[in-house]
Formats: sequence, structure tokens, C-alpha cells
Amino acid sequence: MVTLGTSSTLCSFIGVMLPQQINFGYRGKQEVKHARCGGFQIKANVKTPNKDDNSLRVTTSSTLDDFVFRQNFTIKSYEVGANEKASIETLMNYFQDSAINHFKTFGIHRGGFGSTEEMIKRNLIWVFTRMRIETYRYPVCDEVVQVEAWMSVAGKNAVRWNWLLRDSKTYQVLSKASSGCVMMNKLTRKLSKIPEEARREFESYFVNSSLMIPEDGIKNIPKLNVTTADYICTGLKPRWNDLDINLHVSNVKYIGWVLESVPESILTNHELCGMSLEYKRECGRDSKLHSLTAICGANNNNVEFYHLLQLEDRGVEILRGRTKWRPKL
Amino acid sequence: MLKASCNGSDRVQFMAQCGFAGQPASVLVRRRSVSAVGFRYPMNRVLSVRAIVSDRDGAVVNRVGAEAGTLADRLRLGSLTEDGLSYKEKFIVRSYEVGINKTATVETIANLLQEVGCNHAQSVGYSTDGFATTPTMRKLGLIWVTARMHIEVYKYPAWSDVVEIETWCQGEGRVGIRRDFILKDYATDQVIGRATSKWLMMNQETRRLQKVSDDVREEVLIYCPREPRLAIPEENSNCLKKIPKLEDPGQYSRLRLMPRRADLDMNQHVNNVTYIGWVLESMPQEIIDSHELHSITLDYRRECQRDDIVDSLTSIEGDGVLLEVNGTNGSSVAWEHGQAYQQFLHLLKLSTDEGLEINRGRTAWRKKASRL
Repeated sequence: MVTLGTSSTLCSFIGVMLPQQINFGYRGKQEVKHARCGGFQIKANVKTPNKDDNSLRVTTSSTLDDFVFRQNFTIKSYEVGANEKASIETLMNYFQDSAINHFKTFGIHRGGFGSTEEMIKRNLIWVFTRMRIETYRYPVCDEVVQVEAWMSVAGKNAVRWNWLLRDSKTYQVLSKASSGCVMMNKLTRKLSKIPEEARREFESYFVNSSLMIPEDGIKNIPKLNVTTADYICTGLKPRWNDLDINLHVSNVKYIGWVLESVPESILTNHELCGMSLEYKRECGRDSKLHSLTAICGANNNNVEFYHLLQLEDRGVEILRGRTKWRPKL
Repeated sequence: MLKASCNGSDRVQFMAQCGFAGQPASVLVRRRSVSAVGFRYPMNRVLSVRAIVSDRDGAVVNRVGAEAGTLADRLRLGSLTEDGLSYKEKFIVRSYEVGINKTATVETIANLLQEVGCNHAQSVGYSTDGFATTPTMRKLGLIWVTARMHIEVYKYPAWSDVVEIETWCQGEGRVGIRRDFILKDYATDQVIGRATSKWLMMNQETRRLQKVSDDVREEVLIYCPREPRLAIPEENSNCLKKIPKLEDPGQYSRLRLMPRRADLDMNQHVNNVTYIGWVLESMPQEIIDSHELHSITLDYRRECQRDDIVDSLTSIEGDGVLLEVNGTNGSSVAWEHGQAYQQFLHLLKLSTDEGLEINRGRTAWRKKASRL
């Protein structure tokens, strides 16, 4: 496992903590692998720490190089929303695509979305439990963005993914995100511990980095109900296109449902700048959901909401979340 | 008839007034002629530059605008062919674009067709003001609307496959333009799909189809091949056949489908690709499990807005009987190149008493190859 030195430096753009010194473990020589997807991963020389890292760097190019994956994306015409900017779903898709591609470069990917040999033997798949995104500027159509992705530890039975989305020309951070993943048995649909054999397959790729997005204030999202909600949207049904290869609704699609119950005036005059989602339970083709939204606070023209997605008939909670909105420029 | 996007004319005039037209940016370079493009175009093909114009810093505007154009162009893996009459672009199928079959969904393919049509228009220096309308069309208040779309897929690309799409357009009849596509697996050069779409000129105000004089059409057709070139030349192809309206209530249905925010374009109209998803919603589960969509043909009749609620109806075509496992007889089956396809008729209509028709469609399905 790669551990980082103790001193860190603040990225000059956002309050992102970057490791300044890296003590590498036991990995081999310098190597650049070009993944088919267009991303690349650089494994830095592990014999000596990189002395250049003492200077304050605007980009993360040599500091988190070990096991940080980069991939460029061009915003396509069908990935922008009605406001002519990339939708939040597009950003989430890029984050998850880069994570899967990063995993593939480890050479341990055997199928599905990031399943290794030991996982396949045990019928295990990865599922998301939480997702946090902060966006400072949404890219527009045709803009080229660069996503950086890396994996870090989150307890014994979870893995954290961390992402930065940058303007590929200026390297300015447009968005940062982190998420938690755990394993689930695809036959029983029950969450599972990470078996030791599986963990050994990928633990050497963890980067022990500081959290990208502070956890404070996002800890407790209350569970809404029909009386405490300010806005409700009912009758939400998954379409075929919402299901992924794991045959459940892809976690990106939930965001659309969450936003369905956000009032139109907010969507017109505000922009989503922060989102925190906790996935509780999967849902499939035959589910019918409603989406609840409640105002949680407002200051300086910024607004915050709590959200709940729930199965309409049995009241089973699918997801809860919190969003922050700032006025559009 | 489906109208795509909004008053491009205003936006283009705005650009011209700002003195930005004629600058060496990636758009608005040549306004001599245009090509029709497929499906929906977001306004900001032009407006990614407009955002910089509002900066009011002339020097920065030109440089950044031009750079944005070239970087995207360099990374865009597409270009006009040598004769300039068609456009090719490569796309990689991403993890979030595959569906339950682990292959790209037909919606993904439709999105890629939209994207390549848009990029074609942009590469001929044509201002994709939402529609690829020529200056004369703008003066006459005319816009393009999709009338019919037909997509055939022989082999769905898998995650990480690279697909090369070639597209071109040509005139059709007195009022129409068609845009054709050929999809190939870039690794094997094998044709994996073909598509064709038909567009008509409509008066933006009256919402009626309008015939135009030949020189107006010439403006549009200058970048199109003169010799007819059809992606799907077969005369008995589904892309040419009339689609009858199926009898309400249909053998299968999925009722009260609602547009989501992500389905809407800037004018709060539902985009073309969403209709494909809605048409497939009422397909019976046993066909989805055992078959693969071979082709889909949609006739667009009426546009759908944010607050509309839609019913999706499906019936087996012909005698209404599904194929038996080994049987290949029956009027619900079409034969093409020695293979049998199960056909269905579809109807999307508003979920009101009047039940106005949004569009009608036909799909053909082939049995999935058995997987090991």
C-alpha cells in the first residue's frame, strides 16, 4: 500500500489537500500505460521520493501520480441539459467511467463493472453507497475536460473513489467528488464483506489521500415523509434505459428522480453546486417511486434541500440526499 | 412533426452584431451553405463561443474562442471525407452507455447519430444554430423538423468498442431532406448498422410544411452528394414502408409515462431519443429477454411537452400471433436476407381523452444468439 508523507500543501485553486511527499512502497519501474479508453496512468519511480514535489504545484501531475488515473472527455451534444451546460448526470457518468477504466488498468478486471477474479468466484459486484459532488462550474458543449480518479481505503469493507474534474486547458478544478463502494452478492442481493482474497487483489492500488470533500455537515440527512416534505413527485417508473448491466437502476439515474421534485423556480434561477446522496436500496424495472423534497435552509440566496426517494406502495427507502443550490450567474 | 430547438436566428444575429462573425473561431466561418442535420441540436454549439463574447474582452475572446474550437476539433475524432460530401467520426462506447445486454442501447446509438449529424454541420462551417437552417430559410422563417427516423443495428457494439459513423445528406422530393448513416465497427471494418432520417421544412410561425423554390433548396444541398446515395437501398426495407396506426388499446401497453427533466431541450420539448425509450417501454418482457432489436422506424406526428403524459401501446403486427419457438410462418414475421424478424407496431399518444397521436412506429426483432 502506498502511504504519503506527512506534509501536505493546499492546491491553489480550491481547498484541496494534496500530498507533498510520497513514500512509495514496493512498486516497480516508471511505466506509462495507455488504456484503450484514452486515459493514462503513470506509476512513478518508487525507489526514491520525488524531490520536485516540494514546490507548490498548481496541478497534481507529479504528486498523486502513483495510481492516479486521468481521462479526457469531450462534452457531447446529448450530454447537455436544457441550460446548455453539461448535466450533473453527465459529470457522474464521467466519474464512474473513469473509475471503471482505472480499475481496468490494474489488470485485475475480469468482467462486469470492476469485478475481479475473486469477486466473480463469489458472485460479488460493486455497488455505490454514497456519492458527493461539488461543482464550481459546469462545462459546456464541446468543452474538453479531464477527470482524475483514484481509489482510497474506507474501512475494512468499503472502498472510496475520489475524483477531480478539470478544465483541460487551464487545469482549473470544475468539480470534485467522492463516493463509497461496497460489495454485494448478485444472487442474494445482500451486501457482503470484502473477502481477504479479493482485497489482496486491489489493495496495492489504494492511495491514502486526505478526503476530497469534507464530511462535516453532511452526516445526518433526516428521513422525510409525506407530511414533512414540501414537494412531492409521484409515479416515477424506471425505463429499460435506466437499468445497467447489474440489472438494477443505475445510481446515476436516481439523480434525475431526485430533481423531479425540486420546484421549477429553483431549476430556472439556481444551479446545483453540491449534492450528497446515500443509497439505501436498489430498485428494478417494476418499481414505482415517489420523490420527496423539503427545504432545509436558505442563506445569501443559496438554498438547500433534503430529499428522499421511496417505493410508493411499501414505503421502502431507496435513497436520501441533500442538495445545495446557488443563484445562476 | 417534431420541432427541434428554438430560434436560432436570433442567436446568430446576436453573434453577428457582436462583430464576432467572421473571426477565426470554430463557428460561423462560412455561411454560404448548410447541410441538414439530424435530431436535436443544442444551441450552445454556437454559444460556447457566445459565453466568451459576453466577457467583453475582445483580445481574450478571440484567442480563447479559437483555442476552444481547435482543441475540441483535434480531440474530436471526426472529419469530412476527401470529396467533402460526407463526414466520418469515431466514437468509443462508454460504460454508462451500455444496457442490460452489456452492449450499447439503441438510445445510445441514436444519441451518437445525433452527435455526428451535428458535428458534420459544424465541420462544413455551418452554424448549427439549433438546426442547420440556411440564411434564406431564416429570412423566410423556416426550420427543419424530423418526420421519420429508421435505425437498423446488426451487431450492437460492446463497451469499449470503437464505432465509426459516416453521415451525409441529400434532397428528397420537393420539400424533404434525408440524412443517412452507416455505422461500422472500427476494429473490423464490418458494417454494424445503418440509419436514415427524413426532415421537412416547416414554417416556424404557422407550423405548417412549406415548399420552397429550388434555389433555397440548392443552398442546403450544396454539400450533399448529387448522385443518390442511400444507406439502405433495398426496396423492400422497413425504412420505406407505411406504418399503420394500431388499434387502441393495443395488446401490450405502458401507461402514463412522464417526461423527465433530462428529456427536455431548451424549449421544453421532449427530444427524439426519448421517444425511442417510450416506444420500447410497452414491449412484452418475453421478447426483451429473448430477442434483440433489429430495427426501429418512427414517424413523428406531434411534439410532446413537459406536462404531457403519454401512453405507449404495442401490438404484434399482422395476425397478432407471436412466433412459436421453431415456427417461422405467420404474418407477424418479416424475412430479410434469409432471417426471420418478429414485427411489432407501436403508438405513442397523449394520455388524455382525445388521445392525440405523438408518433407511431414499427420494430423488428431477431432472436438473441445463445450465449455461452
